[in-house]
This record gives sequence, C-alpha cells and structure tokens, in this order.
Amino acid sequence: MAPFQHAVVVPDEDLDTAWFWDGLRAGTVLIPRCRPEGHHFFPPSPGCPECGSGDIDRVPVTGRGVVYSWVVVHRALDPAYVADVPYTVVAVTLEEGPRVFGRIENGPLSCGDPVTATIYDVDGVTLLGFERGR
Amino acid sequence: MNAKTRPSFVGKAAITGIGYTAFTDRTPRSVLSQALDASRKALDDCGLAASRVDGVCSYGLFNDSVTSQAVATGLALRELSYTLDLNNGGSQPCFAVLNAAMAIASGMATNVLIYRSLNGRSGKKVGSTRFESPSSQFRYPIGLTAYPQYIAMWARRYMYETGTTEEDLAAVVMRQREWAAKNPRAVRRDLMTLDAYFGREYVVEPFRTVDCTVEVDGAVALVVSAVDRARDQKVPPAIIDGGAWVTGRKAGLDVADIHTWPDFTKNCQHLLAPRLFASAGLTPADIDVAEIYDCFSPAVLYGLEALGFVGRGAAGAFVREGHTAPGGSLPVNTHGGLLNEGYVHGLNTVTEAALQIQGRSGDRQVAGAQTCAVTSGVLVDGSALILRKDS
Repeated sequence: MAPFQHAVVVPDEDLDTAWFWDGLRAGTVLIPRCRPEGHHFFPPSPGCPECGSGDIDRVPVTGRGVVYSWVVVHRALDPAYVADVPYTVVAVTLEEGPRVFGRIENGPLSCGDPVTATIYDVDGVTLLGFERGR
Repeated sequence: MNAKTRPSFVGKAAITGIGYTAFTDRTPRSVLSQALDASRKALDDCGLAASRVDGVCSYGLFNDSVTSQAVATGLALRELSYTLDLNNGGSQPCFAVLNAAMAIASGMATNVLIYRSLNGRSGKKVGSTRFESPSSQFRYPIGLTAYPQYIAMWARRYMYETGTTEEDLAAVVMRQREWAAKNPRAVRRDLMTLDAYFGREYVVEPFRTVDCTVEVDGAVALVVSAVDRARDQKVPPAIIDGGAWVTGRKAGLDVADIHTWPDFTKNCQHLLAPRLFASAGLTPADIDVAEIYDCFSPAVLYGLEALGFVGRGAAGAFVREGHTAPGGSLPVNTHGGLLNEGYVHGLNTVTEAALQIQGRSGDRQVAGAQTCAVTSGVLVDGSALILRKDS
C-alpha cells in the first residue's frame, strides 16, 4: 500500500477500458493510439478525439511526463478519503502527449516538474500514480 | 452559426416574471414543492395567468431536480406545446432561456416557464455526490472526486501562467461580499477583510471555504414571453438580445471529464464570447453589467478575460482595484454571486441579470443599466445571454 493512500473507490471498469486496468495489473501502463495517424489519447475510447478514427491500438508509455497542474486536497469530499487528507493529485502531461491524473507524495511541486509513472496497489486495486523526477 | 449573422431569435422574446423561494440550509419541503412555489411567484410577479403558459423548461444534474411534466401537473397547466428537460447542470441556465426564446421565435410557444429547484444542501449535493460516468473510473479511485477539485486543478494552472495570486481570489470574494451585503436573499452577507479571508481553511488548495459557492435548498423561476405579450405584463421586459451555446472541441466523455481539454487557463466562455457579442451586434464596451457564473472565485477572473473586459492575466488587478464592486466601472455579480447568494445553479444569476435590466434590483440597482451579459458554465461547455432594456 502506498503511504499516501489508505482506501480506494473501486474503479467501474467498462467495455472500453478494461484493457487499461488489465495492463496496470500486469505492471504496464498502456494507453490508446489511433492507427491511421498515431494520435495517443486518454481516457480509452472507441473513437480518437483528434481524428475520429475507430481503429485503435494499445501501446505502452515511457512513463515519463511533466506536471501540468496539481491540487492539494484538505477536506475529503468523498468519505473514502478522510484518512488521506491532506493529499496531492497531480495532472501530468505524458511524453506521448495525453494528460493523466494520479496521486503523488505531498511536497513542493511546480508546473513543468519532471515525474515518472508508478503502479501501486490499495486494497487489491491497482492504480497509476507518480513519483518526482526521472 | 455564422458569426456575422444575428440569429433569428434575438429581440423576439423577453424575461418578465421572476420568483424565488427562500434559500436555506435545511428546508422541510420537497424539490417539487419548491419548484411549484417559485413558479407561482414568477407568474404572480408578472401577472400572467397559469392558463397562458404553453411551455416549461428546466435543467438538473445527477437527477437532483423534478421534471417539467411534474411541475406542469402541479400547477394545473393546460396542454403544452413545448417542454424541455436539460441535464447538464451549470452550463444550462442561459441555454434554457435561449431555448425558450427559440421556441417562441419559431412559433412553438408564447409563454415559457423556466425553473431550477434543488435541495442542494440537505439533499443531493452537486459538490460531493458520487456518480458513475465514463470518466469516473479515472477520478474516484485516486481521490479526484468533486468539482472544487477539478476547478482548483484549472485555477492552479491559470495562476501559474498568469501570475494571478490568492490575493486576487480574495478580491473576488471581498468585492462580491460588498454586493451581497445589499441583497436580502444572500446567504453570506458579511463584508470580508483580507485577514479574514486568509483565516479560512483550505478545502482544496488554492480554494478556501469562501472561494466555493454556498450550497442551499431553494428554487428560482422566471417567465420568458414573446415580446409583444411581455409588454402587456406587470413588469418591464428584459429583452433577450443575444445568446450562444458552445461545446468546445475535445470536451471529454462527461460533465466531469477534464482529461482532454487542451488549456486549463481558458474555459468555454473564451469560445462563447465572439459569437455572443456577434449575436447581439455589440462589443464588450457596450455592456453595463456582467453576471458571470461563479461556482468558484477564479471563474470570475476567467469570465472577465474571456468576455474581453480585460486582457489576459489582468482580471485580478481589475477586481482588486474595485472596478467590479458597487460604484465601479463594470459591476459584476450584483447579487453577490453564487459564492454568496447561494447555489441555485446559476438560474439565480440569470434572474439577477433580468432584475438589473428591469430596474428592480433594489439597493444594488446599477443606475442606467441598459445592457447585461450573463454566463453559465465554467468548464468545457456553456451558454451566455445578453439582455437589453426595452426601448
């Protein structure tokens, strides 16, 4: 269990996204990429938001990204996270282009800071998070 | 819409009657009961017989409202030729009015009742209700669970890029308290000092409690009538002189999906502004009063920049200098905003705009207000109106 997260709301995986969660459980961060034009995007969807293609591949990411924005939550607005506050959620622009969100340890942050993807488990649920640096 | 062409609904319809319930933190009344109460008051306000209403329109979020069908039944309305139940929350108030205007301009309806009712404090809270959606599986498991957090994520980036500070957020709160002090309906009416602001706890950095709208139980209703009928009613018409809707490109999979939106420093209002002003044949300099949807304080800064009242990054100083306060050059959120009057999901921002144009805003009336811009929505989609005094 990650020190920054003590409980989890179980993700409602669906027909469009189950492979992403399967990837995390297998230790790999996979994201969708359209075959015709090679656009990476997120979240998984049967249509590429850049070009509308329905021909979608699943590819691993390097795990490298930079901080686009972040929040420090002081008051849990969902009862599952009362024991976590204060906690930090970061918006990361992946090297491949898409933006994803994940937990990161509390501490100083600035836009543009380099971060690296990490995979962790909470109560049997596998999640994507981030660590500072490369 | 061709930006050079004014849409055919402009000038054809007007807001007339307005009704409010009290805004409280725990009502003993149902959402339907409050919807009916506000609706009856709106009809009484303009002297329109319920038998003259032929259209009803409303909006909700997460199934927190009641249907136009139920309201029509509770008011014993006649057979209706037009109803519309929208479901996208805060982006919808101006859009509901626009749809009524379109229905009227097209001949489908003559008098349309619009309401928003919610027990947003004691019942289902928009700010913290868990709901399933396509993107929720990428938010809830990591503790990104509610609107204050999503908007704070935008605000942090905006502050980084523009140099906007927490003092600027404080200024929005403080200036709008000056308006709220003049509004008997407002839930938060005490003036606020900078020290008092910084003494409030963070909900989610950079937002303190007072940067967030105050959720309430309550309802608001208004009547939109064909202009010629509006002129026969008991109150002055606020002419619907322009309006627009936008869903931005890559708006995402649902009302809380902010993964694909390209730029957290600009919201839907940046896309709305050109077509809003084109629809009215006006420019920002022609606007006397602005009522900007403000579920959270920085939304006012985004709106001021988006609508072209100030340049990028200049909104904070504009508010700090007092331009948006009572007596300022551009009065903004004259009801105190959703921050202070209460969260009736922005329909109370539309009714305040109409009251200003009708000259019925009491102690907070802006002298000589001829035009008012009002907006709805602060993320990826939204709507806006320009109201004008009848000439």
